[in-house]
Amino acid sequence: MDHPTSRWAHQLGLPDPGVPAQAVLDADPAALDRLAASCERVAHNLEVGHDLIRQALAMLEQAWSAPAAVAAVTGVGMHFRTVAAIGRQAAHSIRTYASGIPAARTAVHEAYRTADEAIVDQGLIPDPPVLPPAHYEAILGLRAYVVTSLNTRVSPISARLDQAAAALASDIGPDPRDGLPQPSRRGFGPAPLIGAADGDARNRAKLARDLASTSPGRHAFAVSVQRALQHAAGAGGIVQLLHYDPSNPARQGGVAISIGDVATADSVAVLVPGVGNSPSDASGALDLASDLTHATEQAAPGTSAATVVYLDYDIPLSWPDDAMVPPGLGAILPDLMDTASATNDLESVAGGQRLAGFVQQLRADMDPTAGLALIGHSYGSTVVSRAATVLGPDAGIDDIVLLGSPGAGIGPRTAADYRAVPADHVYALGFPLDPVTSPGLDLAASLINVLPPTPRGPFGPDPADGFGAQVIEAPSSAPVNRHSPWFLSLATGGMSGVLAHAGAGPVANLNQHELSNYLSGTALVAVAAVAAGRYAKVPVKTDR
Amino acid sequence: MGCGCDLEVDTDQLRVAANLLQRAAGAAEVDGPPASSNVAEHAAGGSAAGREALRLVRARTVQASLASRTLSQSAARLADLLRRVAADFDTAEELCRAGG
Repeated sequence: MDHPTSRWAHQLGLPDPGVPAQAVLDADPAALDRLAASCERVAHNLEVGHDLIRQALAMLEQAWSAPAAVAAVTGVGMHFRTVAAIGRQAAHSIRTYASGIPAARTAVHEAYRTADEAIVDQGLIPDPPVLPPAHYEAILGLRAYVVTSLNTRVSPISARLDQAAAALASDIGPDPRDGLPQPSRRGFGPAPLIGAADGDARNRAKLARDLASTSPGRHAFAVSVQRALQHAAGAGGIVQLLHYDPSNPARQGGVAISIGDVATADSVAVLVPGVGNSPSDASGALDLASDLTHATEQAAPGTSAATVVYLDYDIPLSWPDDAMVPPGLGAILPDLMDTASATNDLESVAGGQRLAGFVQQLRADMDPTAGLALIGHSYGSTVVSRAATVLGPDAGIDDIVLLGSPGAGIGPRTAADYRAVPADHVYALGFPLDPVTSPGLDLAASLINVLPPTPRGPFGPDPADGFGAQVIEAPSSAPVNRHSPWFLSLATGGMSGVLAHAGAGPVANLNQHELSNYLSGTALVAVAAVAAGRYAKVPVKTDR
Repeated sequence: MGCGCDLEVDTDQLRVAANLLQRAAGAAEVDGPPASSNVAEHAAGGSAAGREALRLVRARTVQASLASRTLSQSAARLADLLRRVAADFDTAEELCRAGG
């Protein structure tokens, strides 16, 4: 919020009253009224329909004594009435909440007006050197008083509105499709259900053909994907091969595998791992996807979730695990290029575009009311960031989550620059000792980067620092390594060596950067809450 | 054995019932494809609780439309069934009268 009290709060280490104030001022009762009106329209139409069905029933009972026909028409009539009642209830809950917003906004404006008067009356605006140094201490004290007073007035207003929002969420009623006759609850239309299942079947057929291929690369890739699918299926539940492309431009092959049914899930997350991962070795990422799926369902009890592991971009440093690449001297140059690509965000441009295309297809295969979050880790976060600039607001993305990010890449300067989601639906988390999120990485990467230097470093702005994202507050679960043999870590490929030669200090803690660390403990619970749309359960730093 | 050709079904009334069901189906009909529940707007405010509630509200709004469309199809299908039943009874009665 652009007000001197916000600046002073930061300077004085006090809570910023602008955060709760903005939350109240952002509330838009007119938009809520439109949503309520939509529910009322549906309810009204169904009530009209219910009256007509009652008349039809009376006519039917006189015309034909068959009990099955009477029962069928009676049943449909009851559903008309039930859904109409749910629509009325939803509209009422929305309007009740919306009705409290204007008074809350007025109260916030009034609190700021009072603060502005105090600021002018006591001459609190000037800073040194305009302000005589002798008066500065006294001014700081008065500023602290104004900030604290404003917080005392604004925070309860915001808290009351939050309580009303929580009441809305609990009062709004169930999914009106529950218990409806065929076409099934999820069935409108048939395309979503058929889409994902069909895609899975088609991709598995392609996989089966490649398992019999005489091409060593194709065969090896297919075997590795088959192994990953079997590994994931071993844990039980639905596993879908949503994308299988042994000949993608990245030369690594590409896959997207879902843990859970994307067609019926209430929440779908797309997890994009980063450097060192390979589509030929997806088992580890699938285990983490399984953890995230379960945690998402726990965050919103009674709902279902699915997590898609997306490995279909040119992943830097994937070569130690790539099955498509034949061993030998012929692979050295591509491997070197694969390593060099880890030093800048170039691959994220094409990768983001590919991810955007995949997400559009995925959204079409999903239930239209399901939530969709894109979660990127490490270089994958840069790819997600790119996709969120390519995709528009109608792409159906609810949230993006950037974990252990080296940078948001080309394009966005702040979270407000994304087209796919508003800034407050952008979440970021970087552990303090994660060497990849540290400035040391930019330094190291800049030293060997083959591209011209850019003012914001080779990976763009840090999404967890001054970017305007919701910064998740969660501790690392990994132990701090003082003397870890990081250079032996195959999981990170050549990146460790690159960092070490560049003299970046904290590389001993590459374990802090692991995706498994970002998807464990409090961090996993927080990321899952975002994926489930349970934003009030996400611990975030108040200073954005 | 004799054949009672005056079946105890009023097919005209059945057709009226079918037409009423068809009108009910029309009332519940929702035009256009179902929109995604995702709308990039801040209707409920910038707080976490507000955004959480808004996401649910959006979903319910779309779900209500989808439910209405499902019910519209169900009513239309019943109307169609009643019309066909009425036609079948008329045919049966004519066959009976013709001594079939």
